Amino acid sequence: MQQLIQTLMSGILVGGLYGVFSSGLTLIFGITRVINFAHGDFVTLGMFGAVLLFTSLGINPLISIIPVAIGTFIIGALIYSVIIRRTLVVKGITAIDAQHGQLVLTLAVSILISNSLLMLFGPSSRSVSGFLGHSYNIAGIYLSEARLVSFIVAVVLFLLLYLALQRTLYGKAIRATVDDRDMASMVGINPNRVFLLSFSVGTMLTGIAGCVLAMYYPVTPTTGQQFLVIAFVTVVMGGLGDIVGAFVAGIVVGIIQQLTAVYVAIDLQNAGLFVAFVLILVFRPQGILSRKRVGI
Amino acid sequence: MTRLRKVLTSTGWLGLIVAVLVASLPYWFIQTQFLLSVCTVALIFMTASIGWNIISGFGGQISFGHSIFFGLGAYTAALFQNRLNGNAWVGVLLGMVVAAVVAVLLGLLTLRLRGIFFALATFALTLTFAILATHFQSFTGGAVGVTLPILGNDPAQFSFDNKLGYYYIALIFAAASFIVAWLILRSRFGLQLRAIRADQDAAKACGVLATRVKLIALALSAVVTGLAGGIYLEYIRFIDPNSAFGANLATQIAVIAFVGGSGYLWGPVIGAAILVPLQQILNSGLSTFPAGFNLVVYAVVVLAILWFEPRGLLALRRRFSSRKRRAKGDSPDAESSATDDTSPGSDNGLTTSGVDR
Repeated sequence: MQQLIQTLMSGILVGGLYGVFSSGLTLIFGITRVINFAHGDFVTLGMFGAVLLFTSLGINPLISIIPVAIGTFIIGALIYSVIIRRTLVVKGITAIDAQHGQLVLTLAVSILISNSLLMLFGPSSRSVSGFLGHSYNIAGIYLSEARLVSFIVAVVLFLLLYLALQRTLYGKAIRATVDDRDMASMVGINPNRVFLLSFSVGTMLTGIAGCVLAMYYPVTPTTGQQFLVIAFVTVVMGGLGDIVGAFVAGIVVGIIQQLTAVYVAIDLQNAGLFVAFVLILVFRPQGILSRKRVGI
Repeated sequence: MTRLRKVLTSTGWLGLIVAVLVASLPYWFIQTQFLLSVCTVALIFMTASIGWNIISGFGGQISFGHSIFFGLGAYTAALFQNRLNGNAWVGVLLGMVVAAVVAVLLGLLTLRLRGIFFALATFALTLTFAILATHFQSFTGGAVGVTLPILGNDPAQFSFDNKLGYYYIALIFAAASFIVAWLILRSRFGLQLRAIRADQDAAKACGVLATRVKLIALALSAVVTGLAGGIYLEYIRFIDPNSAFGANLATQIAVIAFVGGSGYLWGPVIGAAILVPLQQILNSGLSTFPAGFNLVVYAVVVLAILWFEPRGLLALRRRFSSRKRRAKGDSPDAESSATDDTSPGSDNGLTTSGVDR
């Protein structure tokens, strides 16, 4: 019983961060429909940002959130306007061809990011050591301070994103574009600006999630790969473009992963997740949490 | 007879010239073992990508999981030879059969998904295969993989002293796969497949049994890619979960076709002829540079090509031909409808004129 609660707790704590970078992906994938193969590497970028700022300047990862957020926002904006946007303006290109082009371009960006990091910093694993190293023992259940703090940051970030989408004009424009792209552009919302904004904010959130994750997770240039599919699983599970769905699904995914790792086998923790993903895609393409039917 | 002449004039002459050229390469161009090896690997990946092109290029169902079929082809042959002491050729054949069977089973599940969701599902599936192949060590050999013994010169066991043997075997199978793809593209079945790419609902309304056509295309595609996996195993004589089912291979098969031009018959050929030698030469030639530099160069090349033309290199031909036509003073409308005929599974892909490319 105690082991079960311990497993559930670690699932929830790590799931909060899954929720944040999946919210980032749901902004990108759900709105612009770009399959962003570089998403995992955005997590890596955030993690490297935190580690480098900590080891060279001794900056606390929680403060690094600000420079990392600015950096990844700019990277996202650049990738969108230089690379993704390009596929939409080539003469005579169909929507499907443009999407396939984006797929391969983001894949190349992913290879570029992870190997540039490998070239600059080498393959060894780096971590933020000695920061928030405590762990609490509450009735026999161990909770690490770093994980607890990162979960709180995740919840705060998510609430900020949610409020921004609900209250600000840009947020409303984004939500309108999710609901009906054509109708939104008919009432004067510039889809290009919405896409640019969603892509940049999505990248930024992912970078921040990486920055916080670095508090307890060591990073190598290829760490991001494993988060790529997790992010897609979460986004599809939560329903495309659904921020709340993505966050809740992130926690569900964290729990599924931990349960499989503890009760089945640790090296199978992702296999169970991927099979669940395919089954969800096939049988509940609108997401497990949503009641809305979406044509896929 | 006229039909045969038409066939020869459209793709045939070009194909014949390329075939003769490539077949004679070892005698005037490829003078070193290294270059021969680069070309052999290029031909193997060309075969895999030609297989990919059948379902994903002609049919528009982008798969990021063709490494499943490549890996199954390789693993089946490896286990058949190692565990049952079977014949290598029979092992390769068995691998193709296993790939086809698995393709049908996975297709029944995933081909209901459209577009990007099919791509995501296949990507997740190949990673699942990699995890499972690592986990069930007693059967697959686990993360260590399977190594085949080196047998010396024994053509009956798919083993040659000379790299030239492997080169010609790879060449023959690449050419055979190309012809299969070409026959599919020309056939009524290929037309149905291209119609599905253009607009699945419209194709269904015209009486195309979309699910069945896609399922058969996936199976054919898996057979060709499985064959490539089998040849790869016999040539490298080693397979492990990552090189069989890993994300790198999964994406590489697709990227080759995308760079050449997905949906074009010649797309995988051009893509493999450029990308695989680039990668092989970078891998070995840049050992003095820090690790990762070779893939940075590779990524930049792919980015540059697709940035310039997101539909792949062969789509450039269409751009230039339309520019020429514009120079002659044709109206823009006539231009767009005429050029669309040559695009793969184009908007008006139901016309037969687009088939002879």
